[in-house]
Amino acid sequence: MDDEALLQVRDLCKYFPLSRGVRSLATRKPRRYVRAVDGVSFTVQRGEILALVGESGSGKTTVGMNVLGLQRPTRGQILFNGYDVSEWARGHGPSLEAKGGELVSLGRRRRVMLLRQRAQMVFQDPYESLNPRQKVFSIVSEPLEVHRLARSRREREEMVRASLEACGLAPADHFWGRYPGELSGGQRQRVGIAGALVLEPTLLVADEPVSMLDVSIRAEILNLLHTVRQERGITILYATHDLATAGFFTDRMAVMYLGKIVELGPTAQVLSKPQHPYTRALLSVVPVPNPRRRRQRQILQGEIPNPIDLPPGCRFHPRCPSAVPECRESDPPLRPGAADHEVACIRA
Amino acid sequence: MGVIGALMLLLVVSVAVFAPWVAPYDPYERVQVTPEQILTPPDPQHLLGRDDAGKDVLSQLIYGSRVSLTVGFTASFMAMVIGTTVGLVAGYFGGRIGNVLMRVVDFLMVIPELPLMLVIIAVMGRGLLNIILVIGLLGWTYTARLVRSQVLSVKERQFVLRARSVGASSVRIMTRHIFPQVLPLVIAQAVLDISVAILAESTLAFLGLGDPTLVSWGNMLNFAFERGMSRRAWWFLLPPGFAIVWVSLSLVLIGNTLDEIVNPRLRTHHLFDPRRMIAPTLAVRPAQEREATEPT
Amino acid sequence: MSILDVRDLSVDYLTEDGVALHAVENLSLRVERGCSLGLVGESGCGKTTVMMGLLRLLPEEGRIVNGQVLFDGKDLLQRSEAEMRKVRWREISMVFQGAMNALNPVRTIESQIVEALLLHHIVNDGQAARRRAGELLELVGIPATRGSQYPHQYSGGMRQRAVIAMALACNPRVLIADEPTTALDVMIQAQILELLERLQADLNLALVLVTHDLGMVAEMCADVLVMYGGVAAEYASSDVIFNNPQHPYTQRLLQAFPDLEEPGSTLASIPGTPPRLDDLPPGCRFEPRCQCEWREAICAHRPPPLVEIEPGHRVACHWAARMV
Repeated sequence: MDDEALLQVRDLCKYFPLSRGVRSLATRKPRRYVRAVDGVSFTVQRGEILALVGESGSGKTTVGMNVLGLQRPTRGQILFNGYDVSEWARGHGPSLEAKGGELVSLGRRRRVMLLRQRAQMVFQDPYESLNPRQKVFSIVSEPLEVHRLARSRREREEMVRASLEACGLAPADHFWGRYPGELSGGQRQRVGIAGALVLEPTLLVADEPVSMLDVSIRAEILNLLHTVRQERGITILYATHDLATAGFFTDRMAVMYLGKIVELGPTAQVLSKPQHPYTRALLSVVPVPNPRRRRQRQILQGEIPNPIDLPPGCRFHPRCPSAVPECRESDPPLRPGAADHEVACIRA
Repeated sequence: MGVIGALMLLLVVSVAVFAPWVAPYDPYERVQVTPEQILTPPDPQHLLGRDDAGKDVLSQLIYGSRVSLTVGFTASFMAMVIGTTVGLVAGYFGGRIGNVLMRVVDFLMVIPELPLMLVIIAVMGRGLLNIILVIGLLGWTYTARLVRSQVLSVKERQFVLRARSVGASSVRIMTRHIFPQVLPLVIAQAVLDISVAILAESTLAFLGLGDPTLVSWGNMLNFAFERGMSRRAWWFLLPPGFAIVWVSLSLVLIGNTLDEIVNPRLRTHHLFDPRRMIAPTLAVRPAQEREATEPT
Repeated sequence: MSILDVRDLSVDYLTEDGVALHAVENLSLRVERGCSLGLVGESGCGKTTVMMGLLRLLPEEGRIVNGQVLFDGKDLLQRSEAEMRKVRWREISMVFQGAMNALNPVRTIESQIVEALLLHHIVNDGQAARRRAGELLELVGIPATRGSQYPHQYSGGMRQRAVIAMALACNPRVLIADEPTTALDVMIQAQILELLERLQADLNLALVLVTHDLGMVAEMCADVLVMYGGVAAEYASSDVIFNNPQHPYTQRLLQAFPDLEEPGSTLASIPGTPPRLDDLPPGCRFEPRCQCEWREAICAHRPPPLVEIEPGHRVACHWAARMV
């Protein structure tokens, strides 16, 4: 196992069962599942920013939720700092791989709490992700209260202040008496990030943190995340559908389609030399703010198919411009191509 | 509307609180009366006349408010507490716990309340405490259903997910995050429940199951029917009925207004996204206009 | 003559205390037949208000306090409500923001299109209406047989297409699309934009695209009007706006938009927030956030007029005007 890796995901699968109607119960049809994530594997190094890029139904949000233990994986392993988190979320007994025996003897609740402390989430909707009846101070200090990290009220105030100001909300006393409704979208998002950072986590999962903000303030938030990584060495998992912002501040990029990673590699390389037809099509339709550079757009027809009834073989082949008959036969795995750049395509 | 209701209720509450000073006579005092002093119509000394025991009706009415309000507020509070707790737990946990709790609720809702109350009182005995218990323990089901359905939608909101991701325990999430969202609804419902409780108490007393040692409006109605009405002593029958209506109406007015406040209708045009429209007016004022804010 | 000529449109919103908030001030724009105009701005800049204003669909609190809206030469603001009803949908049609989520869930898509057709007397019997509805669906790329399905059976992209089909039911001459692709996947966005482009060409539609997405505007629109805080900041052809912007806001906005083809560049942001409508700066509305080194006292005191600094290029900025 790679010692520098903070997070290792191996063959993660998350299926959501569909409730069955009386008719299918009666005819004993096999239960159907929504395969939100279907065999995802990747590694994230300490201090790295990995982008999980995908459209709706790609599974990027689900991967984030499973990594944080907010959902229980159906199958697969999630190794966080050496500990198998997937087991913890499922509430089973001792973890499979433990570095040092002391963690094994902890009860489930304690293990989950430890995980929460180390890995936090930044949410998409700045309007919905903050409790409208909680003042900013309370929102940011809640994690401290839950984990009992501050020994006195003064210490808590200090930590909240430090967190708010690190996120650009200075002076902190001007903001902490307010309710979220009194703040703008960008400010709320900063509050959310401050709340996540106050625990000094090692991993941050940012799920579309800027897609609901105005264009002119997106950069501020992204720059904040970037600074946080530079100054604290926090590892970031950035899930988004926006290739453009992902291109700007991430180190590596994983392109997902229908629950699987189809391409994985250093961001600059994936963007300049995309290997998978889906990545190429996606790149070609990203809007470019210059009318002089109208590119040849590869607009894929149709929609992303239902993750319940997957096409046979490669799940992208029905929409793929370079599909061949062999594509129907088997689902290609992620295979390494050039220098750390993996692709899941038989034509690559 | 709500203000009118509040004023009406305020009147009754003050009368109940200051009863010993407001009432001209003490209805609990034994009175020696002569036969022609029984069931006398209103006169300057007894503004609402006298009942079949020669006691002043007005004083009874004033003292009766105490019982009715006590029962109303206490039983409603009990129902609110039980109902909210059950609703929160059933809604948040769902699954088997939720199912079991909801089946209990269904069971209690299906049984006709009044006959059940009658049976229980008849078995347990007539007393103020028993009455409060019976009304409270049977009246929480509607609140539980209401709270549960509200909790089901609130728990899907993103700030609840944030609380979970931070590591908050279920209890903390339920009390700190979900309950405050549910509270306004519960209060609006509780106010209406008070009115229901008062009516329930009056009904029980009217049917003869009230606390015989206490003066209450229900008891007054009971006696009026049994003993006074036959002699057409309207001054004995009308006042308690009127008082019950007065209190119920005031509570309903308040409750409806609270309901309207709690369920805000969209004040913006349906074609506008309220978030987009109000973004500029919610911005923090520029530095020179900020006033000092007190830290929490 | 342009098909749509808005001159000095001003819209106020009255608050409960009777205070008038100047949501839009002296906005002018022109749309030529068969051409496309992009109305760009961030949230709260008034772009939706302008469109609602010209169609006279403002909410109760809204008041049009000034201006003319010349549609084919005739002022819409002088028309009666009955006459406006003949203009709306038949001549000028609109795809509202979030319309795809506002479809009637208990009626089939086809019946909703038929309703529009019958209401506006485009066809007069049900069968002809259904046929026409089928044609419209095919026009937007939905198989006519799916018309008998309900909105929840359609995906997001298909719902947006259905809404566009409804907007085109009466063969309007102008189509206003307000944020037609928010909440849609990138690929579906591209599909919808391609559809709009094709429709514009085939039906000779004048298209007004209201959005905050600069990339969409660059791909679709011939002319661009950039709005900020309820006023026009810059108004020129798309090429000029993107390659020679003169208003500081336009320049900063362009820098804030990530460009994948220039990976080395940094992503800028504009610190601060748009002005509060009840607290508008007395001078240029962008002045509090303007970090232009040529900022002068006049910027904070006098609102800059929209000046044509070169043919076809108008800017509302004291500094830019001075450069002429």
